[in-house]
Amino acid sequence: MAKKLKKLAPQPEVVETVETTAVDASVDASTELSPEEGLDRSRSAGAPDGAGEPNAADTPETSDNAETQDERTDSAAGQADADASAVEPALPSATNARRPLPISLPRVLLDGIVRKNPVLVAGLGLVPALLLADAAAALAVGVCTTLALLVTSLAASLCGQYLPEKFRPALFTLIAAGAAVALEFAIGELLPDLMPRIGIFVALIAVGGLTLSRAEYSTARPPLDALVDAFANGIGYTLALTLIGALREIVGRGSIFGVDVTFGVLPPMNALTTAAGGFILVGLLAGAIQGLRLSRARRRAAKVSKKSNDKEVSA
Amino acid sequence: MNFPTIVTLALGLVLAENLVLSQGLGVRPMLNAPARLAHGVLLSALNGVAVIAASLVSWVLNAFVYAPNGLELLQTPSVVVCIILFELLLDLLLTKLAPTLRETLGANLHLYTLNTATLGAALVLTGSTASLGEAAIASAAAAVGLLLAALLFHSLRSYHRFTDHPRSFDGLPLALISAGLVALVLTGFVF
Repeated sequence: MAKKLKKLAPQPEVVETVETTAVDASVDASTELSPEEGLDRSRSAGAPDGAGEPNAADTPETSDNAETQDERTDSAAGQADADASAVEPALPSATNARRPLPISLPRVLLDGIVRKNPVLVAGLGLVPALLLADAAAALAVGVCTTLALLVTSLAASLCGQYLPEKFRPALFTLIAAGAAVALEFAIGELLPDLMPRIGIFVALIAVGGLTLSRAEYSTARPPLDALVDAFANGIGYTLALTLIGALREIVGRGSIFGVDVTFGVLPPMNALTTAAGGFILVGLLAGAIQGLRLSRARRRAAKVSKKSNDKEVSA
Repeated sequence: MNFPTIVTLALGLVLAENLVLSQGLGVRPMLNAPARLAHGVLLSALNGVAVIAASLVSWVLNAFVYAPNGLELLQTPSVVVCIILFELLLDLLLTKLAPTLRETLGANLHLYTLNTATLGAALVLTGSTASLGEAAIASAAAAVGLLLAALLFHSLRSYHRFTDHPRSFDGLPLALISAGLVALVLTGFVF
């Protein structure tokens, strides 16, 4: 089956210089859906989970690097932090003297929110997306997940590489469970009304695929990289959950954030508030995002082929 | 507890309240299931055993330690620790007894033992069952429900190879939508 997984996800094998675990490969196997997507990933500097940044810093990339230059000048404070973290001997790369730019903030954010959205593209952390037909609760679960992700990724970045590889997933899950308990306690104290609605989802953050995959990604990466990645994924997760929750609440219950918006004109479609409706809605949204990505990749390919044709004609 | 109640409880958890299709728990292992049916069923069976172990441990701890002392918050980490120990035991046993099988399973062992289905079932069943026997029957039924979901997901996936669907729905979207339709069918069992 390991062979099968490798067949399914050939891209990481080619691009990766950092070793990845089979968990990553299995996650990628589900997310590597089409050749276009593979192309897209190999083109972007922060390629698949667990690959990437060391490579991006070492190998010059023409257009991508031009883009990152601008970002570098934009975030001076972030750069200061980044330089501080780049001094740490956390990267397994051989040439980790002083990386000029460990991360590109807008790209990581874009990846987390759209291109590799945890729910709609990677299919991770689906439970609240499938069950919550309630925008406020979905938003709360998203924020809790972001906080848990930040804690777990930071811990993985700081001590992940010193843990034995075999027990890493289990220990990361334990750390996430600690974060989930703290969050449950905080919600119980601060927002007791919300607790019965979201309690179980906050507990499930501990074993969700999202925390584990981000922790695996953050292992042996500088803390700033890990935090930015966790933040981007958390924001992407929160936005996706809130969108799904709001859509289901509007159509399924005729209200949003508890406020009636249909004024009795549209009858509520209760089917959308069940798990079945959640499956179908998430599937449709994921299909829409994949369709957008495919059409974008096709347009880009057409542009490239047109350019090469023009060059041939002029020559 | 009389026989009809047991049957209703068990059938309800297999069909109407299926862990995966009606409660949305443990979807990721189903989506990432191995291509061979035998491996998929074996891993789902392991997942089922993990569900039973987690539910029973969680029920006992909750009834005798946590609930009397108001420590319900500790349920999540205790179930996680219990499942990690179960996973280590399983890993040890498989490495000793069937090393080739262990190698084939690889990191999937972790994915199939410590997932949302295990923890979710433990938390939900602890809250909803009144006695240890009831919890045992309910968790066994939930495990059978997992097997049923694994079979359904496998057959759907093998059917998708021959369907003519839009390319943008390839993979995750199609799997989710067809799972949603199956889940919609299973809501017919809610009575």
